[in-house]
Amino acid sequence: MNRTRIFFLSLLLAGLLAGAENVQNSRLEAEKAIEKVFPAIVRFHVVYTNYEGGRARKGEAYGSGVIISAEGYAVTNYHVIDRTVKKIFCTISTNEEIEADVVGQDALTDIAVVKLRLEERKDRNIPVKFASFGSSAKVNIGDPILAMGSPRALSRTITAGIIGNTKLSLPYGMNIGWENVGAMVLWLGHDAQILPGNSGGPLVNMQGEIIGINELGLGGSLDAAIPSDVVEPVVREIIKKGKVERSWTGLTCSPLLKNSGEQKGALVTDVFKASPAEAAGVEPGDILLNYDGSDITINFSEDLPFFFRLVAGTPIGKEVTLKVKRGGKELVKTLKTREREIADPGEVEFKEWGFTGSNLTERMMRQRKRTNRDGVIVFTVKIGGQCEEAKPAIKQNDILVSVNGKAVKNIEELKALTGELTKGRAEPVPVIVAFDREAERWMTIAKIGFKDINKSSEEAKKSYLGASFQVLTSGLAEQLKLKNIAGVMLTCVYKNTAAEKAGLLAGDIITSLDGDNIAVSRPEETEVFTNMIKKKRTGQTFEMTVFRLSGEPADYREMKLPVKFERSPAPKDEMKKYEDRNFEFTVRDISFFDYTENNADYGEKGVFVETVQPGGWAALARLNNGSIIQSVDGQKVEDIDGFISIMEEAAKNKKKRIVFFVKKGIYTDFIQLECVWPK
Amino acid sequence: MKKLPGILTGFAVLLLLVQAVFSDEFSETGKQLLEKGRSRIVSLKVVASTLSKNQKEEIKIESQGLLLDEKGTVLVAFSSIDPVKYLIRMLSALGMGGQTANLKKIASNIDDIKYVLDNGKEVQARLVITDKDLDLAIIKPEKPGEKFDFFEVKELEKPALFDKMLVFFRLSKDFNRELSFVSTSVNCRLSKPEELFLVEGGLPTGCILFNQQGRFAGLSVSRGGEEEDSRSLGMSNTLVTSILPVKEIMDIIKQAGEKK
Repeated sequence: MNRTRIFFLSLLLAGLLAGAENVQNSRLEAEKAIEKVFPAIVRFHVVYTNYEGGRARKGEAYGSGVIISAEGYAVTNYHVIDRTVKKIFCTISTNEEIEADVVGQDALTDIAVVKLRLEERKDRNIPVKFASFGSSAKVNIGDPILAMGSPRALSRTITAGIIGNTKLSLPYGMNIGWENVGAMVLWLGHDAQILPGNSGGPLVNMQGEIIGINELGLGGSLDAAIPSDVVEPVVREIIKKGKVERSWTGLTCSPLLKNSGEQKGALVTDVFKASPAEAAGVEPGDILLNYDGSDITINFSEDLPFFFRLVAGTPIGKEVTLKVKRGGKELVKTLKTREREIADPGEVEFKEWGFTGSNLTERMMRQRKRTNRDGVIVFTVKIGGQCEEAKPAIKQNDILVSVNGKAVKNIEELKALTGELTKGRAEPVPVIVAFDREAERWMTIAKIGFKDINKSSEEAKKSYLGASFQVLTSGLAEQLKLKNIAGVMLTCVYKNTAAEKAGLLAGDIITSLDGDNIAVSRPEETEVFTNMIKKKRTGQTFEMTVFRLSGEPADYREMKLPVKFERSPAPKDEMKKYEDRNFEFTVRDISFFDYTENNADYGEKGVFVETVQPGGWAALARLNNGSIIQSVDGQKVEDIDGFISIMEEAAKNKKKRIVFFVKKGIYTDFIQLECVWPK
Repeated sequence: MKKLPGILTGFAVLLLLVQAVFSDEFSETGKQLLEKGRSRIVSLKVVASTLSKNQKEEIKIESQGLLLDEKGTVLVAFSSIDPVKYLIRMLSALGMGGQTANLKKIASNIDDIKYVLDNGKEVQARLVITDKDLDLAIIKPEKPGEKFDFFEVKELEKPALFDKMLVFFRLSKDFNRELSFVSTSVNCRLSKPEELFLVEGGLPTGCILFNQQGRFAGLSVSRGGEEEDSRSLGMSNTLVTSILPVKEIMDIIKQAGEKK
C-alpha cells in the first residue's frame, strides 16, 4: 500500500471518528434539552363551541402546551384555546389529567395562557416541572432544534430538525380569531415534523430553552413557530393583566411602490375613518418617514410586522409625532393613540330566536356605513327557526335594532328583553322586529320562544307474528324435496310472541294462512307474507299450514297450527325517553326491536342510550350510543322511570361523580361521569 | 262494396265524436277538481331533522296533503315529508343510489308541520299516525276549531289498465304554491306485495290521484328500490313511484279517526 493511500485512509478514519463524536455530542446536548423541557409538556383536551346553522354546537379538540412557571401557568396557541372554549383538560407528565382555567388570550399572536389546577393532582408534593424562554433573536439558520408536543393527541413526542428561516413571512396573511396573525409575526421556519395536535407545543433549542411556540404545518417538511421574542412579552402581559393592550392609530401602511422613487419610508394606503390618524390629517398616499422618533423604511412585506409592533407597542393615549412626505414636502403631524379593539366580536346563540350573532365592532360599523354600534348582527340562522319563519324572514347579516318598539343596542339588552317577553310562556310570542338590511330599514313579525317539538306520532298498529323468515325459492323447495310447495321458511322465532306461543320453530315452512296460499318463489317477495299477516285482525286466531322436518333429512311432515295474532310491539321511537340536560345525553326504554335487532338480550333491564351530545359531559366520559345503562352507582336500573329517579336524586345532591355500569354488545364497562352543576 | 268507404268514414267520425265527448267530460272533471282542490289539497311546510353522529341537522321540505274531514285531518305520503327518504330520493335521482345504504341508518324526526292554505294562512299541525310499510301519514291541526273543506274518501274498485287519472300536486313557493295537475293513465297493476298500480310518466311521491269520475283514487308512494338494485346499471326502479289505491288507505284513515 503506498503512502498516499495510507494518508487518505488515515484522514477518512479521523473524519469518521470525529463524526461519531459529533453525533455523540449532539445526542448529549439533545438529552439535556429534553430533560429540561419534556417534563413540562402538556396535552390539552378542550371542549369548544362552533356557531353555525343558527346554533351553538360543541366539539372536542386537542393541542399541546408547555408549563412555564411553578404556579402552573402554561402557554399554548389561541387556536387551541380560543374564546369559545368551555372546558380544558390537561394531561401532565405524570399522565394525570387535571383541569385548567383560561388566564387570557391574544388572537393577534395566536397565544393563550392557562393556569393548571395543580391542587387537583393526586400528589401535590411532586414539584411542578416548568420550562423557560430563550431569545429567538439569537437563533440562526441551520441551528438544530426540537419540536415537542402531542401530535394527533397521542402522548408527548419529540421530533428534531433545523431552523430553515428566522423571518418567515406569509404574504397572504393568516386569519385566526378574526385577526391577521401575519401582521405581528414573522415565524421561525423549521423542518422538525409537526402534526395536528402539536399546536401550542414548544420549539426548543439545544440549551433547553423555549425559542418558539409551534403553530403551523405549511406542507412537506416546512413548519412554523411563533418566535419567543413575540411570545414572551405577550405571556407576561396576559399573566399580569389578563389581556394584551395595544395602541391603534388607524394607519395602514404597505411597502413603497416600485415606481415611487422613494428610498425611505412606508406608503400610507389607508386611513381609517374617525381614527387618530384621520384626526391628525394623515392621508392615503403619504409617505410615513418617522413614527415617534423612529425612522421607518418598508421596502418589503417582511418589514411590516416590525412597524405594526412599533405602533401596537406605543403606550395607549400617547401623543405621537409623525413625519410624512406629501407632494415632495415634509410635514409633521401629531396624533394620540387609542386602544386597539379586539377584532373578534364574540358570537353568542339566541335559542329563542334561532340565530347566532354578536355586537358590532367599530370595524363592522364602518363597513356597514353606520353612525353608531347599536344593534345585534345576525351571523347564522337556524333552518326552520324563529328568525327564518318570520314574515319576512330575518337573514344573515341583518342587524336587529328594536323589538316591539324598544331599542336594542347590544346582545345583553336583547337577551334581557327576550327573557322578559318569553318568561312563563308555553308558546312562542309574536313580536315586531325592526332590522337593517344594508341601507334599508325593514320590519317583520317573529314568533320568539320555544314550543314543544318532542311529541312523537304513533305507528299504525297491525298484527305481528314475531318471527323472521325467508322465501322458499323454487330451487330450495326442489332440493328439500318439497316439489310444488310454495311458502316461507322461518329463520328465527322470537321469544314470547305469537309465533312462539303457537309452537312454531325455526326451520318450519309455512305455506298458507287462513286458507290463502303464500304464493311466493323469489327472494324479493318476502313482503307478501308480512302483508298477509298485517291485514289480519289482532286478537284473532288463524290456521297456518306448516311443514316441519320430522327428523330425517328432507322428510317434512305437514301440520295445521292455529296462531293467534298479537298487536305489533311499540317501535323504538315510541318508547319513553329522557333527556338529561346536565350530562347531555338521551336514553329511552329498551324496545322489543332492540332484542330482535340483537342490540339487547330478551328481557334485558336498563335504559338504551340513544344520543350523546358532542362536547357534553357524557361525551367526555366516553358514554356511547347504543349502550345499555344497567346500574348507576350500584343501583340497578329497571326502566326509564327508575333511571329518572336516580338521576334526579344525583342532581339534587350535586354529586361530583356518577358511575354507570353499561353494556354494549357483549362487553360491559364502567363509565365515570362528572359535571359542573348549574348554580 | 261502394258503400264501404262511406261506412268506414262514418265509423271513424263516430269514434272521434265519442272521444271528443269523453275528453270534454274529463276536462270538465279536471276543472271541477282544480277548483275544489284549492281548498281541499293543502301545501305542507315541514321542518324535519336527521341525527347523524349525534349532530342534528334540519331540513325544510314541502309537500301536499289531502283534507279528509272538516276538522282538518290530512293524508300525506310519509316519504314526501321524511328527511331520510327525501334525501334518498334526491340521491337516487342524481344516479347516486349506491350511497343511500348509509342514509337508511340515520334517525330522523319531523319537528314542525304547518298547513299553508290557499290564502297564505298557516295552520300549525302535528303528525298523528304513520304507516311506514304503506308510506302513509296522517296529520291534524294542533288546535281544533277551524273548519276545512275536504274530499270525501270512499273505497273504490281497483283501477283498470288504461284508466285515465288526474294527478294533483302543489307547486313550490316560487310559484305561490299553486295547485297544478297532469293527466295520465294506468299502465301497470301490481298484486305483490300489495295491490298497487303504476301510471305513465314518473311521479314524485305525495301526489294525489283522482279517477275520471272525480273520485279520490290513490296516493303516489315510495316502494321498492332496495340497495342492491340501486347499484345496477339500466333503469333504476327507485324512481318508479307506485300508486297506493284507496282500498289500502282506508285502515289508517280509520285508525286516525279514533285518535284525537
